[in-house]
Amino acid sequence: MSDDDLHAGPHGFWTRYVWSQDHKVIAIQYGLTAIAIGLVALVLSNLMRLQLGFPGAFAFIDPASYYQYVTMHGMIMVVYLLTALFLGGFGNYLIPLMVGARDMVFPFLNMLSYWIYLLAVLVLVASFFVPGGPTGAGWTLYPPQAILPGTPGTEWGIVLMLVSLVIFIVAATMGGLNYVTTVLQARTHGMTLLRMPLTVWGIFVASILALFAFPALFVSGVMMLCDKLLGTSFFMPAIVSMGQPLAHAGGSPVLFQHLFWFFGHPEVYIVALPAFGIISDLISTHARKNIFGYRMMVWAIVAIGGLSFVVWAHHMYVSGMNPYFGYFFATTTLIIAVPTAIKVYNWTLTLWRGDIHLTVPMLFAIGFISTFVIGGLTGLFLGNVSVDIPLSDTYFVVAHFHMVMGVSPVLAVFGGLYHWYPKITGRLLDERLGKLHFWVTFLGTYAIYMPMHYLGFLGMPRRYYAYEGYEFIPASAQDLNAFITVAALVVGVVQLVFLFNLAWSLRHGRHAGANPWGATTLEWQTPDTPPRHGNWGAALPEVHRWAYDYSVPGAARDFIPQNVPQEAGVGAEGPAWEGHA
Amino acid sequence: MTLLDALTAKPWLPQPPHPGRDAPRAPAANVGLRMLLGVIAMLFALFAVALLVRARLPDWQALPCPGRRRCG
Amino acid sequence: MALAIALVVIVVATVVFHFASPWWFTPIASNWGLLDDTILITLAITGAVFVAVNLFIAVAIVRFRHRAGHRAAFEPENRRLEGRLTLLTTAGIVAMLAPGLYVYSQMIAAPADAAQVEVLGQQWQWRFRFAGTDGRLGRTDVRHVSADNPFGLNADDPHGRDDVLVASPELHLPLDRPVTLLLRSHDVLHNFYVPQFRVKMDLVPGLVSRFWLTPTRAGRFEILCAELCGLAHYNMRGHVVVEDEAAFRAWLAAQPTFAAVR
Ligand code: HEM
Ligand SMILES: [Cu+2]
Ligand SMILES: [Cu+2]
Repeated sequence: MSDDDLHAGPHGFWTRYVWSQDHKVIAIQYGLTAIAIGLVALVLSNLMRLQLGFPGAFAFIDPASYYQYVTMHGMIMVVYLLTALFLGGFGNYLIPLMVGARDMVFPFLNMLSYWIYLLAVLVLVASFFVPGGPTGAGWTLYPPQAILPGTPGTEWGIVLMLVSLVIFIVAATMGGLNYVTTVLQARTHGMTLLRMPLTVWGIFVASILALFAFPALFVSGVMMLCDKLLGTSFFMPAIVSMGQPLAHAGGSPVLFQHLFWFFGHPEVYIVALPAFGIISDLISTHARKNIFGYRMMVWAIVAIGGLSFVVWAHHMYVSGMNPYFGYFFATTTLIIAVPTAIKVYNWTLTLWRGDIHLTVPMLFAIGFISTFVIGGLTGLFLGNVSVDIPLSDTYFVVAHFHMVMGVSPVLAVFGGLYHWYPKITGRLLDERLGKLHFWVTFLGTYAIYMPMHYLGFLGMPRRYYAYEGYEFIPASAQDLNAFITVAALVVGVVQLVFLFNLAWSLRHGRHAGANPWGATTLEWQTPDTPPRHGNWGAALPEVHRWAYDYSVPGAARDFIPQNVPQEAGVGAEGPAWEGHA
Repeated sequence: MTLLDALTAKPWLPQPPHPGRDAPRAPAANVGLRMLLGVIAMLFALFAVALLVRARLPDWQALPCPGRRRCG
Repeated sequence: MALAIALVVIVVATVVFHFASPWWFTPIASNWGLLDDTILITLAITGAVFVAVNLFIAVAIVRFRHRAGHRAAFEPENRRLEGRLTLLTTAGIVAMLAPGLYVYSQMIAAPADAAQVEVLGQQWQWRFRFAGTDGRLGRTDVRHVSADNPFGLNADDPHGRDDVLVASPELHLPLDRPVTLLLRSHDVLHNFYVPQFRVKMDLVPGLVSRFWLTPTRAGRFEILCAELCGLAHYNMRGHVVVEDEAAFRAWLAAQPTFAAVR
């Protein structure tokens, strides 16, 4: 049984579940930590909504706490939840399994990456308990405001935030190196680049973006720490703050914004590309049909990844930067819409002439298309420099980015969890609770965000603690805000159903078997479910076909797994494959 | 197979029996190190750009020289 | 099935909401009606795509939902269709980008006869400065700021002496006269935002940003801050009063000059 020992991995509880170097355990650690901190962000969002819907009714939400909630909510959701969950969670779990590797190529680094991520989360959480509380500078942390009095948390909060981000970047870099190298070097025999499932493509390109975009945040964070702690003036011009002249002089706040958004825009795609990949695979699997235009989908992911580095200043149209930049960035931004639109078309065309099983993962996947379309389309307003100017910094922006990088990726996360939970645990999540979760979340987010666009047209600015006494805002807007708050609370509460489902199904869920969805990709072909340490037993799988052999004409079943040899799958030599209408 | 070929193949068509099997791969550590060097290069490049932008603003002071000697 | 119905209901509800919504553009009071037009063009194009995609999905769900014996087609790609869709998308993008950039070129080219007014932001109030009889604004520097010189004017600059200083957060502007607003901040970022004017711009400490407009409707409008600037960001109020030339002149004449307040 030496072979079995080899792949059974370490035995003790601590080495097996805590100091584990198994990518699957690390993925679960990443996932649970991200979900835990994400819950904090969810609670914060509901607190903000309480204030906006029922201003003043909750005395403990004063302006300082409101701005702290906004900041922590935004930063946690974007960085500590979604980035960590997609790359550290899904990436870790799926990459080795999907490309047919036994583990990440650097397992020790992988373990280190998680523990450093946990440290970053703890430092972030610590900022809730220091004097002055967490920073309230907005998730964009714009100086000079972020480090000057007049903003909450300028003593400790901002320092802890920046330190936490720097730590996070170290963790993300360790992880990213692993994911990229594993995809490049550890694919099993026959797994060519274009035989990889789109999930791997999305996470792969997103990891590259993370590797090259996070340094910009690192640089701006370190420089701001210098300004704050050492009195340098990278971002600080001469300032009179609350009547006091400061020692700073000559720095440029706009420089910070360039650095921040050089990170910040690719960050949007670090969250979006894995979601694109996951959605593609869910749609293909549950529609029992190959993904339409696979190559175009891959090229689009690569093109979007590349372009995402040259659009950053579309966040800065009203920042006081050189106005001529506007032409360039509006053009690049609208160009990026073309590959993005192609992705949407190809998802819908995959459904067309499919055999659509409306399973819970599929519901979330189709919900994703719908919400992503809105978020993408409203991006065309905000990317188009002159159209952006009346709308920037209004609720239109809040609605836009929540649809495109809040709701949509979260729907992809949920879809992915319902889809892969059976592989992770051996049991299916409960379907009825899943449907309840889907319907309330999907319809609820529409109720929250669709009307918000119109508050933006009206001109209501974002990041406002209260709107009392503004004459241009009709009283009815307050009723709308109350409605939105109620919807947000309902959506918040229904996430508890999901958490309950995660825990309950662990023991009581239906047994899934190895491949409950009839999927082609390698992770469903493991000898054990859940896969053991080393994933593949004695021999690595060998790949003979692409990831999307669904409903192949002439084949007996409506899917042929990637590791089934050509000769065994029917129609292998069939010229008819290209002769579609 | 060049990268371009690899990215333009039609993967749903039957491929040569074991594509990529015989192509020797560089050790993973090698590739990982290259990526890391890329990331570090990016970091330095961004620090350099930020410093250069900052140094073009009017009040920039060159580092004072240690001791009395003139530098450069 | 339920999902198909839900998607159709969402489309219908959205369209109904759009036309029935009492929440819509705040009535405009500047020359930038073109901005509303570009928003409407964009809304028409994107709205059509929104309706089309959602309905397409709904139809696909109804027609191709799983039934016993039903099998999906095998269709790796269709270059023709993909090419056409790409072209169509590109055309739509151009139809939005071209008017957008055209309007933008106007926004960043102030007419030669535009008057200049300075807007000064500080946590959390607005101040304004007009050039005096010499028609030129005096030089300023943050280092000169003090309790009796909140604008930071350089006392040695003769152009500054006759500058008209408005220390209260109420700005008057003459009707139908183009004006360039020069924006300055002493502390953090702010953003001068009057919803009825449509245009807005950040105030950035250390530099002077600007935008221009022509007020086209008399009235009293609110000034808001649209860039997070700390605790009272939501309460950084001001007003701009647009009135005819004579009333404006009278108001301006009643404001003190720098020489007078020193
Ligand atoms: C039920 C779910 C959610 C609700 C009710 C919600 C609500 C809110 C609210 C009320 C604000 C502050 C608006 C303002 O005052 O300007 C906000 C800001 C924000 N939210 Fe969410 N949110 C949710 C989910 C998410 C998710 C999943 C993300 C992930 C990307 C996200 C990212 C952000 C960001 C980046 C900000 C901006 C923070 C800032 O202005 O600095 N939110 N959200
Ligand atoms: Cu962006
Ligand atoms: Cu403000």
